Amino acid sequence: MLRNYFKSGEIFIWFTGMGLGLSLIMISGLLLLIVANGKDYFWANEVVQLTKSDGNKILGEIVKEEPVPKLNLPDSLWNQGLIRKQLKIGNRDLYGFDFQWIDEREVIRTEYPEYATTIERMEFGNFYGFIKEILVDGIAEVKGEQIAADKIDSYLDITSSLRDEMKDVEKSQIGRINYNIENLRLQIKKIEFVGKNSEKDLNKIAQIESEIADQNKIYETLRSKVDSLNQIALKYSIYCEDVNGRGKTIPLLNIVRVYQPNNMSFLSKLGFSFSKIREFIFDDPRESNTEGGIFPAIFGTVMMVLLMSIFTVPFGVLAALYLREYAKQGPLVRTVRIAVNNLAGVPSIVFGVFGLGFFIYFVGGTIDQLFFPEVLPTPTWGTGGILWASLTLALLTMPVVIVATEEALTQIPRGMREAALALGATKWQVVRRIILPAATPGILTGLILAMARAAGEVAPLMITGVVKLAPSLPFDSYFPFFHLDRKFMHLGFHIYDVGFQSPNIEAAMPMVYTTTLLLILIVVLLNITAMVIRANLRKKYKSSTF
Amino acid sequence: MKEQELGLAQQTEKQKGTHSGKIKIDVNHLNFYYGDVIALNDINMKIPSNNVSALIGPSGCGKSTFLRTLNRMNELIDDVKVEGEIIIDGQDIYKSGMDVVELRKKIGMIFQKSNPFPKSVYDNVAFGLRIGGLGKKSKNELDEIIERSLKQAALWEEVKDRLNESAFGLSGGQQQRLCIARALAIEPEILLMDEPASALDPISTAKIEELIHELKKNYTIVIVTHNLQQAARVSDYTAFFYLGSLVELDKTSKIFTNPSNKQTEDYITGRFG
Amino acid sequence: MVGTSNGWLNYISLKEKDSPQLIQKINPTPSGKSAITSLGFIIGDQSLIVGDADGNVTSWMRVLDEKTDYGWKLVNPHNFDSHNAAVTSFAGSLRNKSFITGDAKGKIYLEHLTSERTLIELSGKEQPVLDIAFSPKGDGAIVLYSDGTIVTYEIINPHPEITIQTIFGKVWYEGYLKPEFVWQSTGGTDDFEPKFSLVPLIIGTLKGTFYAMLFAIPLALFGALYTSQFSHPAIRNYIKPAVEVMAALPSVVIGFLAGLWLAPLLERILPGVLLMFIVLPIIIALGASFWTRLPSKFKNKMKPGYELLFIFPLIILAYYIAQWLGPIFEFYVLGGDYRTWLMNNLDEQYDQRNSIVVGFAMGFAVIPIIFTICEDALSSIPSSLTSASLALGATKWETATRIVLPSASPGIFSAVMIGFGRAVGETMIVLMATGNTPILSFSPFNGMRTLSANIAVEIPEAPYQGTLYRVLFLAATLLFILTFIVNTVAEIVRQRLRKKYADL
Repeated sequence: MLRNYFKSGEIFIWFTGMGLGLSLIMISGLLLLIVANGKDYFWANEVVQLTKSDGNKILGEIVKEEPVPKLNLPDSLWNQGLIRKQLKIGNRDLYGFDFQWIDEREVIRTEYPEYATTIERMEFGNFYGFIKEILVDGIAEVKGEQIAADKIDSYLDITSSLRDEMKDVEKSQIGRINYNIENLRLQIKKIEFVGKNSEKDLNKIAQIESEIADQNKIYETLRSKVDSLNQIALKYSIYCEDVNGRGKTIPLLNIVRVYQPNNMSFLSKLGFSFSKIREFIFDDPRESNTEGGIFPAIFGTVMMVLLMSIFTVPFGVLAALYLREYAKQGPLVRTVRIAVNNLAGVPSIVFGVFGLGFFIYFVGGTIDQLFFPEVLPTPTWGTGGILWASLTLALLTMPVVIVATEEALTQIPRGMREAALALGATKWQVVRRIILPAATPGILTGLILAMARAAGEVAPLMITGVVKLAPSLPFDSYFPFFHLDRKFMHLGFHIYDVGFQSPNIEAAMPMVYTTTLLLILIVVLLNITAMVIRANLRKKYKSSTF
Repeated sequence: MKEQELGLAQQTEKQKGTHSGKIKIDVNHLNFYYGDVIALNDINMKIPSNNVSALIGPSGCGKSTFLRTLNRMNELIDDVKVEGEIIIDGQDIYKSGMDVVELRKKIGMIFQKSNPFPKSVYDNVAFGLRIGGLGKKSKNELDEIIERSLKQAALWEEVKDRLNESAFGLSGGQQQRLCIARALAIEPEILLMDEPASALDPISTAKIEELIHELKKNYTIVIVTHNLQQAARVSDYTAFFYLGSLVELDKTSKIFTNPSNKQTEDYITGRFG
Repeated sequence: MVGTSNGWLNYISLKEKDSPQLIQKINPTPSGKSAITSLGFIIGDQSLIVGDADGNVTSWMRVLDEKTDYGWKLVNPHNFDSHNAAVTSFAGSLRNKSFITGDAKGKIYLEHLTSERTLIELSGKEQPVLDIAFSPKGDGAIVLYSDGTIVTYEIINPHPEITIQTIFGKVWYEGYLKPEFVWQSTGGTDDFEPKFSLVPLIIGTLKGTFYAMLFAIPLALFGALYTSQFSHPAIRNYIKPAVEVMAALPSVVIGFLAGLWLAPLLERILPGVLLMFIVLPIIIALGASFWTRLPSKFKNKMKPGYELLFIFPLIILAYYIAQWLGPIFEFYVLGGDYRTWLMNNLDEQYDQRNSIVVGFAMGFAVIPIIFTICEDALSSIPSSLTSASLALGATKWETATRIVLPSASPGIFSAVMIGFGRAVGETMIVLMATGNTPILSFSPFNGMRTLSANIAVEIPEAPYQGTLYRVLFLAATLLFILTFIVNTVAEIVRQRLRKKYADL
């Protein structure tokens, strides 16, 4: 009986199924985990007030629950299923830390106060407490939690419009002047570098210096404008108290957003989520990347991927065309093909090292010596930048495009080529009019897969030009608009950086999960698109054969 | 082996008398190799103009290979070698300096499996014209040629309302006739057909055969076929290939009623093949 | 330190300035009798170079020794090429651990402490060298000969510390008790002795890869076998896209989850997770036997190939059972806490980010690669073969193991090779899921640093064309060669297999 049972192998089939089942559970579990954690960032989480047995109160959002670690427990309690909760209590400036574990045994009362307020600030993270007064010029204009909650938004509107005005002056007008001054300085450097010290040169330098002085004057007036705006904005502030009655005055200028989650309806929470999503996608990061938006990272990723596509597609397609259509099939082509497949298996960090050694130090260094000798030793192109990163990734993803294109080419029936040739088409006409159009979906598949790969790749970028915080985007309104020598931010690196390099990892976690969610969405969507295109392509040629 | 060679020698002697009319294709001592393997062995053959010549023989006898030497399609395969000469309209097509593209424009080819391009019906027929630089003709002229070609291929009535639809939507027989129309559009002089009806149902086959009958008025047609009845029905001359050699070439009526070679007779009567 | 003409070196402590204390008296010369003719410290004042009348040059340094009263003793880590004449003079570089010795016959050696290399051997003038001095930048030397002439030399000496031995062998570094494999590229001070042994990194790489493969191969292989041979086509159509999505996940995502989610979780529930390896097969076996014993009335309602649907809940069940058993097991067998138990019984320190975490995470990353190639190989076995076997009365399982697996084994081999290549070069996961400590340890409970992570961490800081930069390039080259060989072998095997079954 038992022997038969083993002989039939049913049990082994189940074991193999177990292997597959585990893999599938892991992948779906991972996706669920990220979605579950990522969405919290956008939701107005309720604020809970816990009263401990010693009378102390704690106010904050519940972040995590887990069994109490055994080491904290006497042996008698080890398997009682005791739970502890982690609360985000914020108020880093008051307490010095913003997360706290609390054992459920210590809690004697749990409440959700109606006017418990979450205040998102520009610095020191969230404040959890109650707004007592709204102050203008140090005088309380509004008093009482309930009224303050109603009125706070109108005051915030005033300061946020002031803030927008200041930002506009600082970013566009002052930025323009800084740019001009920098350019003028460079001109002086260039003249000095060529170095004839002639009368003419000196005159020119003097002229440029007076221009710089003019620019500086404009700068001063703009600066004072910003300062006066700042003075006005700083008049507005609120006085809050934390749950144990410790007071704190916060200037409205430092406040991003104020809300009372316990008092919000589902719809207003939904609206809140939309505003958070908008902030996440379109705003700059705050608080060393752990708050605010990730627009520069999205922009950097997209631009890097597009640049990469510009390099990788033509070369990849040409290489595949040559291998499949022109080259004589023999040991040489076979070797090349193996090498291409091999390239796909070379660790990405090796590509990064190559990019660093070849593109940055060799090509970039040479460009610097030839065209920008006046600013050396400060490198212009001889340092990491978006161009070099894109080129490195173009090399890395080239095999993907080549393999996909070749696959598409092999799927084109031989008869189609012969028919065209028999009609008197030249080889190039066949390629141009028959093969390329027919292979386009395949090439597209390759491109999309390459883009997905590039979007998720981090290791080679770390050494070819990604930074944690780029001062400016690689595209702006200053000539020549595309600044391919600039360093850039990247979603994948953002995850690594915020998750592993930031000083306050607990506070950064929601940001990391959310960024991960976005990155996975991008990558998975790209892959699914590629799968659909490929499936359609296969179907098309299947039906065409008969 | 010796016997066979002897037979062949007699054959070549005989052939000369059998042909009437103008000779379109003249094949002299053609040898063809795939690598070191000989695929065609000393073929001598004269194909008359405005006639249908059928090539028959068992699988692997070299008839398709021979057909493909006529428009140099065999060169698409690496590592092949050709000896001897094929003279079309007085020109040796294997002579160096011969423009293959021009040659292929003069010789249309229909394949065993229909192979329309993944384009519309109209664009399929226009393809040859466009790559030949005739695409710049006025739209009217192009329309005319396409209509005429489709009519010649007896397809016009069936597709005239769906010229802009994908060619893949046509039935197998229609696709094959579309391929014929596509070949006709560039006005070739010779049509090579490589088992054009082997993948089709009997009705479509009949249509194609009818078409061949019509076309021979204007074209010289060389057709490879597996189907002896088809050869008997459509061709004026029949050549029997066996093991890479041309065994017998004669008027179709003669081959099928009174072949002079024993092997031909065995094949036709179904003893092998 | 005092050297004497009869060959003794006295180690004297001047801790109390007024009462010097003799700590150790040793005989540093090989012959034991030669006079010490030259003494000097290398930059950092840790290593003492001793030259004697026979021309021998040795280095000495003090290491901790608890047996002696003073707590330190002198040891002899390095010996250098011998001059064949009395060593007359010595100068140490101010930039690195190089030094120059000159002898009574006028020969000058430029040597390096760590690598024991004689970088250059000059037979300047045929006269005793009286004195030598290094230029401050270490790029030149001045030599005074006994006839009063002074000769200056320019020294071009970019990478003195690198030999095969220093990169791949054990080296006795300053302050260490014995020769060891150490990677420590930079230190706080200028007189730091760089330690460029790639061995801990290579071991780390192989260790991480080993655990990843240990996890990935069975799962991927079983999964591929099930998908290609036993599963229903309808299910198969969902499996393949799911695996493709798995393959598409950026490694930074996997690494992040491994480091920040899995590592703390695993630390908490490790016994339960390890028990899973026992519980899960038992549960599956029970499930399978229960299934085969079901009355055929029920069984026939299920088409074959849908077992997977039952396996999912079984796995989840097994997880909860293991999680329930884990703490019990830990409490009664391991005496409370497994980390204490590990420490006491196996002398192993449990790091939160360790090889097990890396094994899971990197295994997760290579599963789809191995799975896809295996599945390809298994499905490429023509159905005519399997049909023939089934027609002879073999069960599905017998067909799979006796016909399909052997025929596809080259493909499976190449899948494993390609997976191996991927794991060897994986960077982000290792960077995030291990502690990145370049220590040499084989324990699964410790972290490691791999070649790739090392490059990623250090190359942004490495000066262009410097020694570190070049060593990192060497590491990248090693990785490249390794993966290239592995991939080429795999690719050739795979193409063979494809050709073999293309005609069937």
